[in-house]
Amino acid sequence: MKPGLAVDLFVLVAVSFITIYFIAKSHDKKYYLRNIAGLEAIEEAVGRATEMDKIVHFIPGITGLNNSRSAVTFSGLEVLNYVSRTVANYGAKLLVTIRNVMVLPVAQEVVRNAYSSIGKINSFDYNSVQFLTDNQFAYATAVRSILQEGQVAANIMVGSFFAESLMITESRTSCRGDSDRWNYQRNPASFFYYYL
Amino acid sequence: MNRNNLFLGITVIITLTTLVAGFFDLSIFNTISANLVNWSVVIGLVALATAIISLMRMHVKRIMTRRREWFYSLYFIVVFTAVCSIGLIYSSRGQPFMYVVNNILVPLSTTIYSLLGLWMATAAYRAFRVRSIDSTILLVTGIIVLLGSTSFGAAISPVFARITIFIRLIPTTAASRGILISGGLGAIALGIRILLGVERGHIPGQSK
Amino acid sequence: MKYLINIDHRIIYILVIISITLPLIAPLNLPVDASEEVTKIYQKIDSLMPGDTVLLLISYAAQNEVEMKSQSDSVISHLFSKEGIKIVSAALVESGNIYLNQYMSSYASEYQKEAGRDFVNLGFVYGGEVAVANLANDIHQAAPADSDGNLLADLEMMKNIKDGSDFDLVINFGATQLWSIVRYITDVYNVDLVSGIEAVFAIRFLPYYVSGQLDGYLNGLVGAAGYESLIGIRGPASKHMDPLSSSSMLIIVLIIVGNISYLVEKRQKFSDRSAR
Repeated sequence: MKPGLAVDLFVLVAVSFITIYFIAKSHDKKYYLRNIAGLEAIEEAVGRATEMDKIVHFIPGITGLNNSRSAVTFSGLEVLNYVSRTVANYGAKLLVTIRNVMVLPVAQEVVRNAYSSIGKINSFDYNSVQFLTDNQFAYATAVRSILQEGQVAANIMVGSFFAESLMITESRTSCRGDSDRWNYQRNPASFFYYYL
Repeated sequence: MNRNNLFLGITVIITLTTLVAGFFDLSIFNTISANLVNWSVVIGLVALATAIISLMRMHVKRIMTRRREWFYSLYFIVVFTAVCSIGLIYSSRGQPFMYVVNNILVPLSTTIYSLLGLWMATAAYRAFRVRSIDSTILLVTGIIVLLGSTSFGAAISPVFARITIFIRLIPTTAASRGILISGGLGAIALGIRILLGVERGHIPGQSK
Repeated sequence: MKYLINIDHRIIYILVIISITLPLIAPLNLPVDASEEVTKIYQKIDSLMPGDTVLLLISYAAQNEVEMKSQSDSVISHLFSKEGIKIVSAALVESGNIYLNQYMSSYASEYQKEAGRDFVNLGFVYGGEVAVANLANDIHQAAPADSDGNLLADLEMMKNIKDGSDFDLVINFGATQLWSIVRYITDVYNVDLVSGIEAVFAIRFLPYYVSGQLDGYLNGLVGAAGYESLIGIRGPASKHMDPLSSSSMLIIVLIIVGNISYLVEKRQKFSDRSAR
C-alpha cells in the first residue's frame, strides 16, 4: 500500500460499509425524513408554469462531474430527474441551462430518462437542455437574459453555486409576475427557488 | 448482456480500478488508471466540441426563425468565429489574440465581477438587522470582521484585528471543517450508490 | 426614519461608487500590515536556497485579475529575485495561461533568467483536477513539451524533475484547483504549499491552513497589499486598500443606520400598540 494512506483507506472502507448497511436497511424500514419545503414547492411551481403556459427553468449547478463538487452536481441532477418527471406529467415546458460541458450529455440523458419513465418520450426535446457558456459570469448574464425575457414562470436552482447565483437571483427584482419568493440555502449545495 | 448492465459494469470496473490504483502501488492498475485519466481529458474535449456544436445550432436556429432579438445570436456567432479565427491564425500567444484578451475579455469580466460589490452592499444593508439573537450575533461579528480587515480598524484599535484573527481561526475554521468533512462523506456515499447501481439516472435507458 | 429602513438600492450604489472613487482620486495612503499567513509565504520564499525547485501554478480567471495579479506580481517578482532557484510553471485554466506567459516573459527579462536553464513554462495543462494528478505523478507525461515546443526530455533542468516529490515548494494562485494540489501533491509528497486565494474563497481553505497542509496564503487584495509591504513597495494592491477600506466603512455605516432606524420604528410600533 502507498505510504500515509492507511487511515484514508480505513475511513473509506468504514464509511462505505455504513452506507451499504443503511442502503440495505432502507428497503425494510421507513426512515423519517423531514419535509424540505423547497422540494414540496416544486410541484406547485410546475403547476403554475403549466397554467401560465410558461417555462420551468432549471440549473443543476455550475461545477462539473470530475472535481470535488461532483457529489453536489449529482444531487442537482437527481432533483432534475424529479423536476423533469413532474414537468412531463403536467405537460409543461422545461429549459435546463448548463455551464459545464461534461454535465450537458448527462443532463440530457437524465431528462430523457425521466420523460421515458412515464411514457412521454415523444414530448422530450433535446433542445430543452442547452449549454450556454463556460465562463461563470457570462453564464449568469445569459441566464438573467433568459429570465428577463418573460417566458420563464419558475426558476429552480439546485446544485453547486458561487457568486453568480447572487447575480441570477437579483434578476427577480426586475422581472414581472408573481412576487412570491422562497429561498433555502445550505452549504455545500445551494438550493434556490423562486417564482417570477 | 443487457445494455444497461453493460454501462453499469463499465462504471463499476473503472471506479474500482481507479480506487485500487489510488491506494496500492500495483503497476498494472497504475498504468490502467493513468490511461483512464488521460481518456477523461479526451472525453472532456469531445464534450466541449459537442457543446459548441449544440450552442451554434441553437443560435443559428434563432437567426433563421427570426426569434425575438435574433440579432444577438448573429452577433454571438460573428464574435465567436472572429476570436476563434484570430486564435487559430495568430496563435493564442500572438499579439492580436492578446489584444482581444487584454482589451475586451479582461475589462468585461472584471466589470461584471465588480457589480457583485454593489449587490453585496445592498444585501449587507438589508440582511444585517437586529431581528433576533442570532442575527444580532451575525451583525456584531460582521462589523468586527469588516473593521479588522481594513486599515481603518487597525487605526481605531488593534483589538479588532486580533478578534478577527480569532474568529477566522477558531469558529470559522471549525464550521468550514464540518462542511468539508460532510462534503467528503457525501461524495463517498454517492460513489457507493453509483457502484451499487442505485444511482442510474446518467445511464441511458434507466428510469426510476 | 421609514426612508432610512428602506434606502433605495440606487442610492446605495451611488454611495458605494463614490466611496471607491474618492480615495482613488485623493489617496489616503493608509498604512498596510502583513498578517501572519502572509509573512509565512514571504519567509518560505526567502528561505529558498540555490538549487531548490519551485512549482508555480496559475489557476485564476480574468474576472479576478485585480486582486490576483497584484498577488502574483509581488510574489513572482520576489521569487525571481532569488538566485539559483529552478521554476517549473503551468496554468491550470485557459485564462491563467495568458497571465503566466506575461509573467514568465517580463520577469525573465527583468531578472535575466533563461528559459530551459532557470525556468520551464509548461503552458496550459488541460484537465483541471486530472491535470494536477498527472503533474504530480509524472510531469513528463502530463506535459511532454514546454510552451515553446521544446521537449522536456531535452531540457537540462528537467532531467531531475519527474514528479511532485522533486519540488521543494509549490506556489499556487487561484482557488480553483487548490483542493487538488493539497490532495495530489502536498499530502502525497509532503511538499510545502503556499497559495494566493481570491477573497471570496479564502474562508474555505482555513482548515488546510490551520492543519498545516497550506503553509501560508494571501487573502485577496489585503494579502497582496501585505506582501507588497514586506517586499518594500507600495504597489497597486496597497493603493487599492484605500477604496477597499472606505467602502467597508460605508457598509458599516449603512448597517448601523439601517439598524437604528429599524429599532426606532419597532419601538414606535410597540408604543402605538400599547397606547391603543
